Amino acid sequence: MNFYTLNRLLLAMKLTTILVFAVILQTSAAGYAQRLTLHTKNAPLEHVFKTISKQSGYDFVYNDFDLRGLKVSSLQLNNVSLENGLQACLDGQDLSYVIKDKTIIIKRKEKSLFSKLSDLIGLAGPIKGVVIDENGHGLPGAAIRIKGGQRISNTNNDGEFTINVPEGTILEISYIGYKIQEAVVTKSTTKLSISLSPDISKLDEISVEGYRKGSQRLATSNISKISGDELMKQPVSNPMQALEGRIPGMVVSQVSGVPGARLNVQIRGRANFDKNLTSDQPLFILDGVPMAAGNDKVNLIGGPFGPGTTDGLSAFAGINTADIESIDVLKDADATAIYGSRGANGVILITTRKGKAGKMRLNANVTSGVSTVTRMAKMLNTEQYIAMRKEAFANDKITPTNSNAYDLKLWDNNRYTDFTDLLVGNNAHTNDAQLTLSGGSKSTQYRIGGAYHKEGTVWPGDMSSDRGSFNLNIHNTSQDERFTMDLSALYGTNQSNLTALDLAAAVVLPPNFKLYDENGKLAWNEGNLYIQKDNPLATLNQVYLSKMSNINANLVLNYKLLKNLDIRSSFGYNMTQNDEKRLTPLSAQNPMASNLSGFSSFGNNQLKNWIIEPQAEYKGNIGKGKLNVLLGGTFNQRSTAGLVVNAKGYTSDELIGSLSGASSTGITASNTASVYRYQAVFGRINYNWEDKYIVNFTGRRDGSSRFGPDYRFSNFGAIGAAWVFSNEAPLKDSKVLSYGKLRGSYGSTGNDQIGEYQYLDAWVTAGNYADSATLYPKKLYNPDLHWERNKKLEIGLELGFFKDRILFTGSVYQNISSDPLVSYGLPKITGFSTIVRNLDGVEVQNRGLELTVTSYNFRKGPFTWTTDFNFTLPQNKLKKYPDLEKSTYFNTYAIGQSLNRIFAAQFTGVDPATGLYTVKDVNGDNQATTADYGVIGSLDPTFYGGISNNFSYKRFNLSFFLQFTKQLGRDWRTNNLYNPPGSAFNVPELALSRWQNPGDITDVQKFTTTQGAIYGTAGFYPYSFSSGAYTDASYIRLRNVYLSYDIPVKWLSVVHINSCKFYVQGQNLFVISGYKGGDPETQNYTRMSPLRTITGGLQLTL
Amino acid sequence: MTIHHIYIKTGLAFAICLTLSACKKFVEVPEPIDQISTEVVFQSDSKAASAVRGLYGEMVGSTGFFTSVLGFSGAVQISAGVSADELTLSSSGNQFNEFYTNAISSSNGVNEGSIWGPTYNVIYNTNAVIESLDKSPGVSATGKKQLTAEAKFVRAANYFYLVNLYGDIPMPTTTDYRLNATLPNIPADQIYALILEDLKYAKDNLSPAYIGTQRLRANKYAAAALLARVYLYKKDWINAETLATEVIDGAGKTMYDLEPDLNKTFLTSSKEVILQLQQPGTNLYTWDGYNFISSGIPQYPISDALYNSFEANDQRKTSWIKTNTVTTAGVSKNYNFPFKYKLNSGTGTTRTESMVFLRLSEIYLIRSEARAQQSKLTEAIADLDVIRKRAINTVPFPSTGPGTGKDGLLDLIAHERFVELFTEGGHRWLDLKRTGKADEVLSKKPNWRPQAKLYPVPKGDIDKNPFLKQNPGYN
Repeated sequence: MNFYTLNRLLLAMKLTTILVFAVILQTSAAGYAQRLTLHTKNAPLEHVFKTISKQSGYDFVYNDFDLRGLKVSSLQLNNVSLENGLQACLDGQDLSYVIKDKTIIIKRKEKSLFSKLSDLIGLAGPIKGVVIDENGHGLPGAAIRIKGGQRISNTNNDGEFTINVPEGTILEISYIGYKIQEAVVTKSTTKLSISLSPDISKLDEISVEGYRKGSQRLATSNISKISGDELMKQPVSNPMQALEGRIPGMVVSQVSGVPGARLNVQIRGRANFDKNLTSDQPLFILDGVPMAAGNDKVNLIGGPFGPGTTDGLSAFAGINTADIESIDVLKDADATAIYGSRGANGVILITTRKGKAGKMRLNANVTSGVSTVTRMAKMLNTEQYIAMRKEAFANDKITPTNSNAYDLKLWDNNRYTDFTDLLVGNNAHTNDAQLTLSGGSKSTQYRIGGAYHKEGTVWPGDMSSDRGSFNLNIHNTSQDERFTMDLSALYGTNQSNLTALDLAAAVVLPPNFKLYDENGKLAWNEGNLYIQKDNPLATLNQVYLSKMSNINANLVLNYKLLKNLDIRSSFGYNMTQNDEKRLTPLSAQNPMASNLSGFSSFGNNQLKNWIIEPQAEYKGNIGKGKLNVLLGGTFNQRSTAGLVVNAKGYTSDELIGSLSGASSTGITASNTASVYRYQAVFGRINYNWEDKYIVNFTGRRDGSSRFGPDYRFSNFGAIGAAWVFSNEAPLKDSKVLSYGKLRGSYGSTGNDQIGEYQYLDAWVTAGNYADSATLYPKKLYNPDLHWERNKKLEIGLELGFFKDRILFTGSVYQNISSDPLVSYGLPKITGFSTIVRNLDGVEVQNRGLELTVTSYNFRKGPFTWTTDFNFTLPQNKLKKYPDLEKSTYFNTYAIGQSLNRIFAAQFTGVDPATGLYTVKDVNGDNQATTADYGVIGSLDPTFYGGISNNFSYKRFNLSFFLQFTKQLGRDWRTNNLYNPPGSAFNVPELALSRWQNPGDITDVQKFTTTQGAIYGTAGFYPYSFSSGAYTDASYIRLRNVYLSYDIPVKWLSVVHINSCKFYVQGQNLFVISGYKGGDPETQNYTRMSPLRTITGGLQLTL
Repeated sequence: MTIHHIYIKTGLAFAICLTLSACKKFVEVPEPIDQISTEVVFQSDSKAASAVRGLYGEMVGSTGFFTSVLGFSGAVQISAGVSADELTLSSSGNQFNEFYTNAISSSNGVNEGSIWGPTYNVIYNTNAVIESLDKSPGVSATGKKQLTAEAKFVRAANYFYLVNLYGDIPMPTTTDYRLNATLPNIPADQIYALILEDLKYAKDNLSPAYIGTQRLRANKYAAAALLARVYLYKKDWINAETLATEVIDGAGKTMYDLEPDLNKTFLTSSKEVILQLQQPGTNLYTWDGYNFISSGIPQYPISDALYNSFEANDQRKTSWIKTNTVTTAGVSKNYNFPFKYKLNSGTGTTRTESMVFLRLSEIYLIRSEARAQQSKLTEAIADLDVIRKRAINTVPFPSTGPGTGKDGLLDLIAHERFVELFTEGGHRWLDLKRTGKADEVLSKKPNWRPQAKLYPVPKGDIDKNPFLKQNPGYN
């Protein structure tokens, strides 16, 4: 301190003394009440003292040195005693007071001897703490108790408290509406930061809606939510898997158990008329950014992920489920209209976990487990198989020869391999490790996480799919709380090292197939006959390798321009890139195949998306209501680039991964690139009248580059309204009904998911003519291509009973898609056979009923029991199609019937006389043609849903989830199409109940090697296209079981651990189903069934 | 409150202004890398020329090496060849069997997918080129004239085949699918009117010189040659003669002359060629060579009627027909097959063969016939003997007798067309029909019925177009 400052200080002290005396002289004259009423915020302590002095008539004496810079952050005192008032003022300050006569003397606190000693030797002294809410704001008036004992302190207005307790004390901090939290005082504890999490009714849980958050209680729309905690209970690597059966109105179906395979997601039924042209996948938004890949496959070359054209590697395989805070599914018009042309098939919002204010926490989680296939059909053993083949030849009256009965004549009839066990019977090991660091202050919160996941396969050999991921979330608020910034970034990389084919397909090999030769090497063509039955173990050499990476980043800047007006903008970027190769070396191929050479395929696919969304939001009160107005715009670009290189002619397996080893003429390449741009302006007005009447208008004007210049822009909008009738006076105090709401919404959304450039009158090139390039029109020009519209109507009733202990919601919906986009057949005189166009006047209707019930069966004491139930009754039908019978769809669809209807011949069972399957010949022409066909049913589920139960007793938590579906599916008997039991393929043991002698009544036809005439009415072939090919594939599956145990805090405090949890998870533990011959979900005994996974894990928080 | 309203209104107005001005531009995306829009194609002479080359290419092209024969790439030669008495089938499982047995079902896949469909596809493309050139601001006036003339030539050639194979057919002349999808059949005369109009335009606007080193794009003489053929079909003998003369004498022998060596007639270097079509892309030179040439039993053997029609010493019988002797179960059998093109598939990058679409000998035969019809018998015989003389190299040459009457001469001309133009563009089938000899000649075939002279309109199109009518004798 220099001389000048010292002088200034001395001067100030003198002046203060004079002033203090002046105050004393001035105030002593009058009598005053000793009750105080103080309302200040951020006032200098000196000012507060002056106010107290005025109200009480007491004088203050203090050294202004002690008060320099001290402020009272916030005081709301009404008619309190002088003592309490002073206490409140000085709380947290290093000052004490003494009242003498009518003078209040303010002094610096004298440290007690104990305090001085403890300072000296570092014993636990007075412990300061702060109790904050989930947003980092202090909670005033929270109670601090010694566990099981008395309240010892309350927090002040900033949520702070100071206590004096011995080491080892367990504190219990409680606050109304929040869960009780424990904290342990250790030797080194000087400052505690306790973050309370809200203990709220399910109704008040915050869901993410389009461009805002809100609670179910006040929502006008239909949004279903799955929390990250529920996701964490499931040992799955793809977050979509965790949604199976959990969301009413949404069907998630798994085609394959291969790691990384995509799942089909469908919200409220099929609306896409032309499956090959438009997609029915919902819009996926990850932290505000539309995922560039969405739920489409990202691989360009074939992998082991499934047989269909849409089956493939999913971008979700690169997302760490543990980083997800919640998944919200938006279904009705009110919720989806704000997404305009992209919301027709529903919207799925994925939000990642954010940091919470409080001291830095380290959370570690390790899991390890094993997966196995669930229901694979039991196939015939060699003895049964050989008998079957012999019986088939006898039935057919065909003499077995080396060429038609090589398995009997050339192969060892005693050799046996259980191919199911060999090929998919292995244990797939799963290992997962997560590490996150989170915490922050009132102004800044962060969460950083890293994770590693490794998933093996049930195939033989060392193959796996690995994922490494990193996640960062930062929230920052400026000092004046006007400016906030939210950053979320996600990076995931998924590496697949798999075979190129699902080996499960080889379970149909004859069980006496020779795998190894005499030298222990892989065997080929036993009996020297090439019959294109390859050694499945050689297929293992045909590898599929891919490296996929995902990046998602979003930055939201928000500025409070005025008290009621926020402006903000989000900037998002999403990218998925996949680099893959499939190698088919000579060692994977039959040496007797013609044109033998190694070949390989290389693929590179890149999908990028950027989005900028400026917004302005107004929140204010008008009359008794709250008004919220949102106005925004979207600029979005998605670009894709793909490159595929096929190379053949490798003469050596060593060079197969490179292009240089291929023959120079054997390399072919092709590439694709596309750009999609999307632009919109949107607005929403939400008005809430006393939490009773809520109305919500949304509107959007959209432009999409997928349509012709005249049809790029269109308007979409919706209105939603809710009446919370339980807030009306007569019901307000009802003991039974605690919550009641009637809501409805109506609006329109669009579908532009037809791929890029369909409207263009595109010319493409194909070879040279006269040594120069040529161009020719690729397709018909359709300038009239326009939006497919989806009008959605929904009415919902939501009820809560007994203080919301039982919550019920029921919704009925009707979605009508009109003017579907199709690839329509044209007479060839137009030059082309199809055109992409809208079917004007055609309407597809999806209707349904969705019910959910949440019941808190037991809530008191240490035991709690909660049940969640959801149920959906869907219906799909073609509502309108003018002149359907004249269209090219006259056989495929029918008015009033589902788009997924099964149109086939009537199966009439096994003819007891001939032993062959028969179908009904309706028109008597001895042929089974479409003229004989009828509607058998539909592939839509009749109903589906799930029930979960969650029990907790003290530190134990147990939950299980059952999923059920009633549906039709493919019968096992048709799984090996064109090859009836009796041909040289193995079949499930179920085939043993076949017809043997005239008069036998059974459901499996006689063993035969012939499939029957294509248009005939008897035999395996006609049967495959009849109602007999479909069977009941309903099931109830124990989808998930979760058991955990929390170790008591006091044991942990010794080792500085905040919490520790052991858990065991089980997925797909069992299924109850009448379906025979495999899994009712995959419905095919030649495909890998969903895996049963059991894992155990440990979660630690430091 | 009011101040907030002002802010909201201002913000709203601002946002709307911003988006309305920005959005139209924003949602315009660049062209995809593997596609070009009409606007861009017709921006310059060079790209527009690519579109015109595409028209020729499409006539012979196919989407894949192993896919069925398309358009002029073989379907016309084979379908018309087996429908008439030129070709037979070695297997009843052949996809052209219904053509061979003259019992084509209206749902026949080859009829719909290889003849009707691709031909109309080329017609659409020509309409697109003609329309776009007309509207194009970028293509030069001379470029427009040249390219439109070529497109009209291609359109006329395709309509010529459609009207001759199917009779009364729909005639799209625009690219509007909404209009085209419901077009009715119109009388053949109206189709011919368009063909004549197109070819006259082509002849008037094309230059005598070829573009490029080979004869792969139509010139003035190609248009005149096709026009001569059309006049012959229309029985306009005077015009047929005039135009044939224009081709034969107009360019002179330095440009067009008969190749003395019959083995060189169909080469790219042949001086006889007026127009050839080049197979784009693959290493296949001609579909004719690919389909006809065989090392064992050929798929499409030459009929005995044709094989036995050749005069003594006719070199075409040995140069243009090849014989394979195949022994099955100890029995040897000879199979004769067309050998005008010598290569089954290409061997290198320099193409030596391309499919001949128009050649000089046809023009001589057209003039001969037109002159005979006008009773100019001496000149007619002179033209006929030009062709015969090359094929029959005996000394002395057995000239056509001057005493042959008009009818006799016409019969000789018809016979000469049979042995000269066999398996080329369906000449035999169309000749029999236009000369009214089909029933007489083809009734020797087992299932012949007069209605088989027209192919059926594909059922697929009839199902999708209520105004389209089927030809008599088909369902």
